[in-house]
Amino acid sequence: MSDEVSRRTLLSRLWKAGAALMGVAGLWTSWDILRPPASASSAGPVRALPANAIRDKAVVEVRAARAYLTRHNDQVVALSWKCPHLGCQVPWCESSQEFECPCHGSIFNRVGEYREGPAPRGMDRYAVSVEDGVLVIDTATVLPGPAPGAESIDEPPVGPRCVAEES
Amino acid sequence: MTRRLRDSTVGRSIIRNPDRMTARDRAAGHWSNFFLHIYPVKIRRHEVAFRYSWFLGVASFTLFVSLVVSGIYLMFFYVPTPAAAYGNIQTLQTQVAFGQYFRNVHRWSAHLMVITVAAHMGRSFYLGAYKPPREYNWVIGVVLLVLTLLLSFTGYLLPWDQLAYWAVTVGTSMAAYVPVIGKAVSNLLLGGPQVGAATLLRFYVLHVVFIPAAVMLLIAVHLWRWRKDSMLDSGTKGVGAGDPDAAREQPLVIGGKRILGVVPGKPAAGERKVPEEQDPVMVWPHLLVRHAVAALAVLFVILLLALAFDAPLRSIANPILTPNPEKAPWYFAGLQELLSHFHPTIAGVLVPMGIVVGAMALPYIDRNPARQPRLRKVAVATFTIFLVAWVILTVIGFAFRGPNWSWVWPWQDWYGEL
Repeated sequence: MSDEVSRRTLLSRLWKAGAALMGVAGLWTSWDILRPPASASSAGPVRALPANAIRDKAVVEVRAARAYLTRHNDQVVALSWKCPHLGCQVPWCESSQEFECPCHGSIFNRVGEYREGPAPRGMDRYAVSVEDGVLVIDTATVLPGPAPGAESIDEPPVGPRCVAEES
Repeated sequence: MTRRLRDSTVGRSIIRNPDRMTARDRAAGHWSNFFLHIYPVKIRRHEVAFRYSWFLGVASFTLFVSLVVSGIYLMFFYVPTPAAAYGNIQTLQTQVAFGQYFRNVHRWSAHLMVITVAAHMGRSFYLGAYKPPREYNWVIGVVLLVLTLLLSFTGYLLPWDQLAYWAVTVGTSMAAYVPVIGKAVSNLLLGGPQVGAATLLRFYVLHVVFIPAAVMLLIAVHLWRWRKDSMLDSGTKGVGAGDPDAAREQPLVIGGKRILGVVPGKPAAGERKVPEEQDPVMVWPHLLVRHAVAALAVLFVILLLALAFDAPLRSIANPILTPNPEKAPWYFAGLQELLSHFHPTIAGVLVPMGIVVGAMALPYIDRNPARQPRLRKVAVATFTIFLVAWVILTVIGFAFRGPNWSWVWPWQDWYGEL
């Protein structure tokens, strides 16, 4: 085949290139229009509780931040209640002292470390700071939960799980 | 009376061939009618029988029509905002004439359509109907199955109850595990960090405009290809007759002009007949009447189901309380069961993608020309194993799982949701 491009071939290529360009431009525009704006996210600092309100092994739910506050090695940590598996809300189970996800049975210990189930990692954490003696949870800063592995606290389940394995 | 109306000047202008007495009249009826045009004039006798197709394609189409009609009715009473949606459904059920009934029709049609489309696909597999020249039509069928699931899934959110909210939370979280584009797709669907007002509106638009339009287009292509491919053995050769070899031939160039296709032998009009040895019957009335009866039977079942069972409506969506157990729609229960055993990338992404891509590639991988199941032992065995495994997973996820996804005997406690 010679390098010469016939007029017909050139025109045919031109309109196809033009159509492809329009297609890409259309997709790009659609993406720009439809992607969620930054304002759609409600993430930001949430003033929660006095810094000394989280005692010992207590777990405190902070609805405004969709998170739990608890102590981990003398530090207050904020655990996102959104299951790292598929986004269900993970409730705290008083009787076993664990987080137990109702959707697919993932279980986390008190500080959100992976214990069992299909979740790929521990519960995600939000940055926590203290301002004027008040704990502030920054839900815009998400730290992915720790990978499954050895737990850093020694707190086995103390009682029956919220729903028994067999009914 | 109708006879006189049809024979009037106006009647003749609308229905050009009102007589259905001779075979020629009936054939002319096909050619001059937009709706009948999708049918061939003649069809092999065995293709008319119930056992050939179980009329699953007709059933699926009937259910789609039922969904469009009942869906339009529901649209008059529904505003897709979190503030209004749930109340609208309650008003529909309690204060609108036949509101609950139409909602039931819509719900059960949707569930049944998932079943009939899947069964249609299974039937086509066991009959070897995906083999040449119908490879591409099989691929379109797979896409239609996926779109059916998406239609059902997007509709699932609209009542804005607990069932809806959390099933969609789980579903869209699954999408986020897709490598590279997952997060973008999930964000695009949700319109924000979690299921909210933007999500409801987006799902509504997908549910009532975008996906139905795509389904209608693909159904048109699907039926068109069915009609073209059914003419294959008609003795006619050439591109237009759906003969794949003709399509693959190099174009004929005569005097610098490209000839698109050549019909050898006698004039096409004389040849476009199913040869007698294939035992042809007229589509009108043999196939049309059966299709009409099948469609009526499906409608009858739907109308009865809607009388007997009410579509569920749980409490209003609560973003801070996941119900326990949280169940995906039943056709995703198998997926949810897999998700409780494997990493989401495997169970939520690789397995479903593998099934869809595998199904699409099937007619191109399976080169065995035989159609009878006993001559296709490997293909039939593989497909059957997949099918049985999937049904078992679905039944377990649907009926055998209770709070915290623990094992529950369905005769002790029932947690299945429809």
